[in-house]
Amino acid sequence: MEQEGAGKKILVVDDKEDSRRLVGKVLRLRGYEVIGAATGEDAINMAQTELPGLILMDIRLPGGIDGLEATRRIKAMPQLAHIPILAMTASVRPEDMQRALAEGCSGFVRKPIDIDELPRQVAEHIARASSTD
Amino acid sequence: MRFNRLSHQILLVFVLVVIVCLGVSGWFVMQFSENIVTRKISEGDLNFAGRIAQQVAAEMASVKPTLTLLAESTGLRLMEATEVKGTIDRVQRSFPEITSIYVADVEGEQIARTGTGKLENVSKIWSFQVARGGDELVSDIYLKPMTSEPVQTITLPIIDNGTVVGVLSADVSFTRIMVSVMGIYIGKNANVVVVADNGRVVAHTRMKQVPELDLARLPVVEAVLAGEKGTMKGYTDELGRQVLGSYMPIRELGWGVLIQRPLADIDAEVGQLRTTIILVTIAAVLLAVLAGWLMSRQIAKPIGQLASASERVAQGDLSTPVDVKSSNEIGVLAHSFNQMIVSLKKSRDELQQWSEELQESEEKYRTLAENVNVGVYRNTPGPKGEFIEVNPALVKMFGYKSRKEMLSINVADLYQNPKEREKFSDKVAREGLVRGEELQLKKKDGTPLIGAVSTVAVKDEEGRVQHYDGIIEDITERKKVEEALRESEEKYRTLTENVNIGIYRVTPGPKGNFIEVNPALVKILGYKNKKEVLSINVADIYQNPKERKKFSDKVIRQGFATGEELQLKKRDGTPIIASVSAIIVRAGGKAAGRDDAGNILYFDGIMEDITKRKQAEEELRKHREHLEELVKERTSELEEMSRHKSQFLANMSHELRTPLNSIIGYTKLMLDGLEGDINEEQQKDLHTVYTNSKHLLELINGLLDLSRIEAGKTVLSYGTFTVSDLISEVIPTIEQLAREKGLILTYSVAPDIDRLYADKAKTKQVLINILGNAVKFTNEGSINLNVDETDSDFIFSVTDTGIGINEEDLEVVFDSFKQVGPAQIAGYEGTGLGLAISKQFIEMQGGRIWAESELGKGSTFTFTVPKKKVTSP
Repeated sequence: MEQEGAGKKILVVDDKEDSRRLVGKVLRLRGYEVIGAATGEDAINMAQTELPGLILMDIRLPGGIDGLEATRRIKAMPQLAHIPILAMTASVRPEDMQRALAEGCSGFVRKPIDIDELPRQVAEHIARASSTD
Repeated sequence: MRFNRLSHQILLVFVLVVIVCLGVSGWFVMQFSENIVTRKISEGDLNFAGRIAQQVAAEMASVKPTLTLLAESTGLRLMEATEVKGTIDRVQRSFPEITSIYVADVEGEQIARTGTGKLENVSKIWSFQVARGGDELVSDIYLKPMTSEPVQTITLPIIDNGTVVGVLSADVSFTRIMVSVMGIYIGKNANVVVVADNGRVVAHTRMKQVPELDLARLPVVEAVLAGEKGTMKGYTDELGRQVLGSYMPIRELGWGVLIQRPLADIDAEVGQLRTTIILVTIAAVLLAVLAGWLMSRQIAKPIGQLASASERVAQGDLSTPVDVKSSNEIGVLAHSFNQMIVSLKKSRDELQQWSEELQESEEKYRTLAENVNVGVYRNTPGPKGEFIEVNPALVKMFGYKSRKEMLSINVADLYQNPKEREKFSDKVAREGLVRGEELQLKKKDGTPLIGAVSTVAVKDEEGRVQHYDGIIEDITERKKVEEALRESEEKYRTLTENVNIGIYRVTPGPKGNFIEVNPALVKILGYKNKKEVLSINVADIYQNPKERKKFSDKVIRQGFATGEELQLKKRDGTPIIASVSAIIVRAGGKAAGRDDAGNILYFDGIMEDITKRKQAEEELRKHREHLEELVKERTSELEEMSRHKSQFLANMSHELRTPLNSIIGYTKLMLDGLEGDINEEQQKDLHTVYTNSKHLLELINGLLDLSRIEAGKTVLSYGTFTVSDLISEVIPTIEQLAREKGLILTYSVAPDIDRLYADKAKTKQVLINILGNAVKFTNEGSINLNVDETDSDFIFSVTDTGIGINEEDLEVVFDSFKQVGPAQIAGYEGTGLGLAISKQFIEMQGGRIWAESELGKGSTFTFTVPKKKVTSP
C-alpha cells in the first residue's frame, strides 16, 4: 500500500468516537498522522498547537461551538487560515453545503464516508493547498 | 292726392303759426346783427392783438441779454479776428432779427463784422464813442436809409478787468421780428400796427403805404401808450380810412399793438349775415309747411278712409276692410271698425252656411235612408201591422226581392214569434219611444235575424197612434262575436281564479289600494276573502312599507318589473318572500311603455310565493359554505402535516445515516482485508452486512429526495452541458456493473446534437437510475442507451433485454414504493423510489418519462428534456 500520507498530520473533529476512529484508521493506513478532537473548542486549540496539514470537521458538534463556528474561528487566525478544512456531514441538504463553503471550507466529505473516496479527497486537498503555498 | 276741408284747416293754422314765429325771431336777429358782428370782430381782433403783443415782448426780451452775454464772454476778448468773426456770425444766424454785428477795438478799427462787408473805422460814430466811454447805448428806432426798415442799434462796451478793450455793436430789425406776426391773414383790408413808446411805427402790415411814421397824435395810439386796451370805432386811421380799431399795450416795452379794420368791411359782413338769416327763415317756413301738410294728411286721410268705408258698409259691401296701419287712436278706431266688419261678415256667412247645410242635410238624409245599411220603416199600428214605407236596406236585410214585395207583407211576419210583435208595439205605444230593443226576427227564407230596433210612436192630437217610425239594425253577427268574447272572458276568469299565482290590480300612490285580486293572491297573503284584501292598503302587505315605494318607483321608471323578490307579510304577520312582476296601465286602457303620455291608472301584476324555495336555497347555500369551510380547514391541516413530515424525514435521514456511517465504514474496512485476513465465510457474511447497509442508505437517500420534492424544496440548477459530458460521467459506473453481470453496454448519440440547457445533476441521476435498473433487471444480453433530438426536445431511451414488466404494472412503475414484478424474485433489491424520483426530476424540468415493455423480452425507458427552460417548474 502506498504511503502518500507520510509525514502529514490530519485533525479529525467529530463528537462520535467511533466515527473519529474509523476516519483515523482509514487515513493511518495511508500513512497519515491522525489526531482527533471531540468539540469545537478542542479543535481550535489543537489546530493552533499541532498545525495540521488538513482538518476534517464534522458540522454538527455539541456545546457552544459547532463545526461552522470552529471553521470560522480557525480561518480568522492568520497562522491557520491556509489549512484546508473539509466539512463532514450526514446531511444532504444543499443549503448546509453552501453554508460550509461560505465559512471557508474547501470541500465536503459525505457521511456515511466512503473509505476509498475519503483518502483520495484528503490527498487532493492537501496537494492543492501546498501548491498554492 | 285729395285735400278735403279738414286737412286744409289744419294746414292753414299750422302755416300761419310758423310764419309768425319765424318772422318775429328773424326780425329780432336782424336788428341785432350789426352789434353782434361788431362785437364778434372786435373781440377776435383784441384777442389777436394780445397774442401779437405777447410775441413781440418775448422776442425783444431775448435779443438784448444775448448781446450782453456775447460782449462779456472772455472768448471775444482773447480771440483772433477770424475766430471773433466765426462767433458773431453764429450768433447772427441764431437770431434772425439781428441784421448785423461788428466788434471794434478801442481805436474804432473793426476787428470783425458779420457778412462780407469791408472792415471800417467807426471811431467817429457816436454810438461807438458812448460805448468806448464804458456805457451801453440802445438807440431809438429809426428807418434804415436803403431799405426803410425800422431798426434799433444796440452798442455795448467789451470790458476786461475794468478797462474798456473794445466795442460790440449790433443792428436789430423790427421788420424781421414782425414778419411772422404780420404774415397772418386777418382780413383783406385790416392792418396790424405796432407802435413804439414814442408813438412811431415799428411795424405795419402796409409799411410802405404809411405816409407818416409818427402816429402819436392818433387817439388810439394815445390810449394804447397810456397802457389801455379796448376798441374804438369810427375814426380816421393813418391811411385815411374810417376804421374799427382794437388796441392792446405791450407792457414790457411800453409799446402798443393796433388792429384796424375798415367799417366798410364790417358793413359787408353784416349784410351777409342778414341775407343768411332771411334765407334760413324762408327755408324753415317751407319745411314747416311741408311738415304741416304731411301731418294734416296723416290725420285726415284715415278719417276720410273710415268715412268712405262706413259708406261702403252702409251699402252692404263687407269685403273691403279699412287699410290703416298707424298705432294711434285713429289706428285703434280703424281696427275696431275692421273687427266690426269681420263679425258682421261672419254672422252673415254663418247664416248663409246654415241655410245651405240645412238644405244639404235634407238631401243627405233622404239619400241616407235609401242607401244606409240600417233599415228604416214606417208602419201602421194594429195586431199585424202593415208597412207604409221601407228603405232599400230593410228590403235587402230581410231578403225580399223589392220594396213592393215588402209593402205587401205584415209586420208580424218578420217576427219569429208573432206574439212578440204585439208586446213590442204595446211597449212603444206606452212609452212613445223605444231604443235599441233586441228582437228575434226572421228573414223571408226563415233565417233567424237579431235586430236592434228603435221606434217612435207618432200620435195625433188625441193621443192615438197614427203610425210607427223606426230603424232596424242587423246585429246577428255582432251578437255572435259578443258571445264568443264572453266565453273567452269566462275562460280566462276561471284560469285566474284557479292558478296558484296571485294576480292583482292596484292603484298607484304612496299606499295604494287593491282594485282586483284573484283567489290565489288572497290565499298567498292569508286573508279570509277577496273583500278583506280590497279593504287594505297595498303598503300593508310589505314588511317594510318603504319597499312598496321603491318597487312602484321602479315599475313607473321602467314601465314594468319582472321577478322582483319582495319581503312581504301575511295577514297574521308571517313573513313571506314573493316574486312579483308588474306593469303599469295608463289612461286609455293601454298597458304601455314609459313614453306614453297618459296618466298611470293602475299597476297590474302577478305574485308567486317563493318562501319555501328561498328557504331551500338558503339551506343549500349554508351547507355549501360549511363544506367549503371544512375543506379549507382540512387542506390547511394537511399542509401543516405535510410540512411536519418533510422536516421529520430530513431529520430522520440525517440521524439514520449517522450510525450507517460506522456500519458501512467498518464493514468495508474488514471486507477489504484492511483489518487483517478474514476467511471466506466471514467475507461472505460481511458482504451481506455491507450490501444491506448500502441498500438501507439508498432507501434513506431516496426517501429524503422524495420528501424534499414534495415539500417543494428542490430547486433546479440550470446549466449548459453536452450530451457527451453527461454520458462520460454516467457510463463508467454502469459499464462496471454491466461487466460484472456479463452484459454488453452500448450507446449511440445523434450526430451534431445540440448542447443541453438543464439541471445536469438531476438529469444525470435519472440516467444512472434508469441504466442501473436496466442492468439490475437484465441477466443476459445487452443494454443500449440512445440519445436523439427533435426541434423541441432531447430524447433519452434505455433499452434492455431483461425480464420486462407486466402491462398493468407499467402504469404504476413510476409510483413510490411500487417496485413491480421482480420484487418477489430474489436478487432484485431496490428502493422502489428511484423511478418515482426520476419522474419528479424530469417533470420538474418540463419533460416526460414513460416505459414500454414486453414481459420476458425486455423494456425501454424513455425520457425527454426540453430544449427551452420551463418558466414554472
